[in-house]
Amino acid sequence: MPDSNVELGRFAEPSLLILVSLSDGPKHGYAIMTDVEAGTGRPLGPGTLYAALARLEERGLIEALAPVDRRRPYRLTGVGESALKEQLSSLEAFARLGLRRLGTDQT
Amino acid sequence: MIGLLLAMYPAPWRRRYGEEFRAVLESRPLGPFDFADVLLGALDARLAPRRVPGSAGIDGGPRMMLRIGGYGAVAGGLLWFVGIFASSMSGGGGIWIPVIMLGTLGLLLALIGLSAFQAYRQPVLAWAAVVIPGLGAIASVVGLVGMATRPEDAFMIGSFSSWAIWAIGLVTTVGGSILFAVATIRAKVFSHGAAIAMALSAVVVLLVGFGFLGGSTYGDVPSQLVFALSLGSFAASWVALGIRALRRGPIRAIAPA
Repeated sequence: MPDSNVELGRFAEPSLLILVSLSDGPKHGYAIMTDVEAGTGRPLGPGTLYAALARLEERGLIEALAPVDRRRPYRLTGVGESALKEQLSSLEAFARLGLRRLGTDQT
Repeated sequence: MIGLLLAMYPAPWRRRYGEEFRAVLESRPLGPFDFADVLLGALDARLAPRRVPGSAGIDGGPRMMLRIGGYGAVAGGLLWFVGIFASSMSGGGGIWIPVIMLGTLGLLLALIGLSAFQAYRQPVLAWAAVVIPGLGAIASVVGLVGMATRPEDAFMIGSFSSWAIWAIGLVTTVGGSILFAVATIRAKVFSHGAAIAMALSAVVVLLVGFGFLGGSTYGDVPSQLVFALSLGSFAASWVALGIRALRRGPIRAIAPA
């Protein structure tokens, strides 16, 4: 995932947020947007959302399901789930390091 | 407004994501942030159309290179021939020097732009086919600048006058174009006919220019005619390659075998 992160460029962060959003089940574009905004408190623009979705789909980390009305849900693939776990573990380790250095790590 | 925003995206992207994207845009009022975000998204999609699953489109860099090379070949071939022909008919460079210069720069762009595809199959040949005529084109432009700025031919580099520099550049450009034509034929891209015409006409230009076919390009009418025809064919072959490049289909057709 770190390599994928580099390739995703400025879409690395939105891509991670999308993967996290899809981790509890398939969602369509608008649902992902609102879920990410609710979870982070920051807006996710539709242009950024679909630029990131296209990259994630191209890399096989997510896949599109059959559309419902005009809305097409997306879900994590096996590869996407593994990549997400790997990246979250890496972030967790990094966060622990930072917290330990700050002297605020409780674990 | 939403239709206009969608139209900013390339057609393959709209076919794949258009309906669901429209549904997202219609789900809530669009603010300036969303508007700017969609415009940036459209720019991103245009720069990388291959990212659309199932799209056969070529990505932004090669497509742009191909277009620049194609326009360079068409404009360069025409300007180069018109400039040289008119200059020789008028008995001097004069106002035609800038025309030849622009034509030469166009051919330089064509060499760079159109070689992007040859390198997939013939990297060494592709480099030689660009560097040699490219250096010739640059030398031509230097000589032309000298001729334009110092009509009395006081412009010199070493023992070479500006005219000599231009002539050396011209010969190198034409000779190097034979390599470019061979690279084009071997890479199986663009037009075989135009590439063969380029190689043959370049050979004739050099043979007549150096007097190997007899006569003189300065006084002998048949030789002048052959020289003019071969120069015209050489320029026309660049124009034909340029037109073919501008009509070029998906890059997959010329990807490595």
